[in-house]
Amino acid sequence: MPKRIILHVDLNSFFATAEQQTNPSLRGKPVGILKAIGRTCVIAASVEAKKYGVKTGMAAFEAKKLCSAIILLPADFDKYADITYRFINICKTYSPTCEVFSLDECFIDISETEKFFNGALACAFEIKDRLKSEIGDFMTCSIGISHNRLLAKLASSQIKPDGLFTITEDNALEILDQSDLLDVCGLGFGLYTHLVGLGIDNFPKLRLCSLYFLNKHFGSYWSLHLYNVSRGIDNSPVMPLAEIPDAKSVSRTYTTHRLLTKKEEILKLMRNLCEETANKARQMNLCGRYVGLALRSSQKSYWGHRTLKTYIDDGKRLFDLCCQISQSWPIDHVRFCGVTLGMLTKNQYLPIPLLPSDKRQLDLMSTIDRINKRFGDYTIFPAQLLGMDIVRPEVNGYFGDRKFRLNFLRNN
Amino acid sequence: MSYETSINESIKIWAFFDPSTPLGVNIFPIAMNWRRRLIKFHKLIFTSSKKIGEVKILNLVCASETANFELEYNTQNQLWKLKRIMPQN
Ligand SMILES: [Mg+2]
Repeated sequence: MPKRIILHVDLNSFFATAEQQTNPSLRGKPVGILKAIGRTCVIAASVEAKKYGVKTGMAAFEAKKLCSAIILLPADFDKYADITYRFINICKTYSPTCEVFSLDECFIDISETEKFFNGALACAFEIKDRLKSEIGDFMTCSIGISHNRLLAKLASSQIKPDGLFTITEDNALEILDQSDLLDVCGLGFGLYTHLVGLGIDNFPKLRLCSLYFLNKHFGSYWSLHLYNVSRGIDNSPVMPLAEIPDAKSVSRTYTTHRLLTKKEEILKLMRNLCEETANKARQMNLCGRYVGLALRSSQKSYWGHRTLKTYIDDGKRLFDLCCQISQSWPIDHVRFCGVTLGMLTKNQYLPIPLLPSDKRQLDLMSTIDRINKRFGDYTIFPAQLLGMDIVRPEVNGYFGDRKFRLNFLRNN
Repeated sequence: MSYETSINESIKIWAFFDPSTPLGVNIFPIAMNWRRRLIKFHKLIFTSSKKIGEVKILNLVCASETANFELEYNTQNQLWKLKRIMPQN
């Protein structure tokens, strides 16, 4: 393989910086972003808040304890999505091989195109400038340059905020050895604890392991991955926008901020998530025949699924199935609910309904979808959801369904 | 000092519509008349847009001499709203 040049661009403290961009009086102050008003989980923290040890996923009261001056704001996902969209538009002008890795991260393979921009460093500086002139003067990013994705991402994490760092074959191992295993591999905590259990807690030790030893403990897939990672080897291509594989499943989960004790409330939340899931599937032109439901209270968790013979994509049927699944569960108090629609296929492959009642249902649904598309989501919604705050677990939406998120970026 | 004050009032805005405006929108608010006071803007700090159904809504943060103002522009009915006032940093 000829030597590649890959940039990893990472917006610094994305959600918090976006708020500091919008409201200059928040700049230089510790800011935490909550999922929504009244929610207790910090989903992002500003550079200043991070200095106090505030981390993503922390409860609001913990963040307050660490930093009493912290300003907690509800997330504004419309705003973040708009910034992401413009950020990607900047990145993709440097190469068609541009992979949106998350809302604030993107890989660009400029091996073929860097010569048009006077080299990788010039590209990186130009991206930084354009971020400021086209999105806002407070926006910064860290950019890593290297010959593969693994090292490019490692490079961008070296200096934050507003960093620029290059990893070459000469310094790759040195940088790896200074890094934490957990920061680099994307292995998940399970694998990490397994490694530590074997006494392997850094890269030099991992590199000493033979492939045979790793294979014995981690199986063929992860052993090779670990072997390569420890040597800074990563041959995976940057996946351009147009070639993202189809989603395997759509799901929506929600953790309530108070315990739901009434059966009616629990069913409402369930219906809400069913509608969200089905909606999202329809927007992606998908339907599925696997239904999964999870409910959790503080002590117990329940999980069940059904596989159907026919594909479905409407919220009511999804809900009816969830009711069947949970029929025997003694649901009295709920903290968490998750609904999944899996085994997806394109809905254009579905047969045309034969029965008049099915046809009517289909017409009704597409009419509702059209009205909601024109006037806004939930202009028309099931009466069951009356009298509750409709939940829109957008974070999941963006981070969960990659395909949907990317379609959204492509179509906007 | 508080970092923002919610207002949410309909207001009159004078604006340029100019395709060469930076930050991706082609509107540049110049001044507004709010509570019988004329406030002039000298800088556009941030813009974003969202859609509610088919209606495109623009959000613009403009700086005056003394404070920053978040405005909302409905591109369908062309009405403006003053969303909030934020102190300068
Ligand atoms: Mg980031």
